[in-house]
Amino acid sequence: MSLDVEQLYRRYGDMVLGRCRSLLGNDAEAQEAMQEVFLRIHRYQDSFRGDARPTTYLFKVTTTTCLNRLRTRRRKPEDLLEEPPPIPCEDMMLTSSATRDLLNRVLELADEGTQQAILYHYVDGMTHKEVGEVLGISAAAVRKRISTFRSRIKSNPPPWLQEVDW
Amino acid sequence: MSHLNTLTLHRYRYGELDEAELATLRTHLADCERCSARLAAQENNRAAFELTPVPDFIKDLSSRQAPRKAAWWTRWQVWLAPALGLAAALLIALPTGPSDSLKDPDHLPPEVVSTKGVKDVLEAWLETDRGPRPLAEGATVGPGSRIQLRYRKAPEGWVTFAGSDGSGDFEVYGTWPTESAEEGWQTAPFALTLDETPGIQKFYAVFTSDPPAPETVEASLRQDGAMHGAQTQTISLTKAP
Repeated sequence: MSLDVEQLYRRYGDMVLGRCRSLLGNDAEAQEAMQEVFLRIHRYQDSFRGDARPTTYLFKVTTTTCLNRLRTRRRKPEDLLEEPPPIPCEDMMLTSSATRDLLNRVLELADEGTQQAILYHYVDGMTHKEVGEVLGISAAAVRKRISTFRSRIKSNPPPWLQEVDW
Repeated sequence: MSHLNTLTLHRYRYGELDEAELATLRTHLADCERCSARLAAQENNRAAFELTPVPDFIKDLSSRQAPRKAAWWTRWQVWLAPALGLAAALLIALPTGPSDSLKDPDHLPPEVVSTKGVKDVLEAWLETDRGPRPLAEGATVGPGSRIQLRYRKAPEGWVTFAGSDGSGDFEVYGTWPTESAEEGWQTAPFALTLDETPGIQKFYAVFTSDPPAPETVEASLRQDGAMHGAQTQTISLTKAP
């Protein structure tokens, strides 16, 4: 039995698109990312059905998709020469392009697993336990990832981070 | 308390929070402008989203799929009519007792598990554009409101859903196997659209070990508001004209 993607889109599409806009800050890329999210859900629908909380599952897949795009974007800096116009953003933590830029720079210093933990904890405001529930790891593991990252950055901070209190 | 996180606000809008989480969230929202504003931003985003057409790529994905019954996350959208059809099929297939079975010792209603002191077993949820929302006991609803029933802590066996409206009319919606093996709230496999009869709209969930005759359930509820020997749970709403 296949998944009814249109029903899924009508119910959760606003969250997926809003999340993509918040993290990517570019409406055209957010639309592409949303398409990628639903394609992933369609392709891996068995794992989606097995999740008790569809909102959590979609939120996680959307976040992962956007972080992948941000990493790809960093590898192609020429794409950043033309700054996209500001777009409406539902997440006030990321309304400032400077804030989003800072987040991108911090994320650049972390591995994939730590990137997600940082994003969920510092931007989305989740506790270590809540981050662990989304990522499928313990709260202690989340705490360790973030703590290790902070220690590493504080011991050798990049110049742009030295003035930031975080 | 720290601020509500992004995901919790989304889960609230989609009706995924349990009672304890809802209570905590509402208390926080009442005093926190920042989180209220973030929720309002999400709701504004939803409103704008609903004005846009479904993209072609979504339709393309959907068109690749064979016709099938509704998936588990859309069960709340099933209309009452097909549910009654299913109930009718069930009742035809299953043995039923005579209508006066309450008075006949040979046709007593099935012996059932009785759970005393269990609270919050039956809930009514209102379907809205932003997803279903739980209704408090006595909440006011109007004609055309679509109501979804949810239950939990069900003993293994069967659940019969019924309702009575302000005119005193009773209706048994059907009997289904309980899903007691699963934790958390279970959703009735239908949704109800309320008619224009004003007054108290009461919903019943009667849990039995065997499927009861609908006449037996209706007679018991009419007479006693509960079914003898069975676990009967109710929730009442106020239906405005």
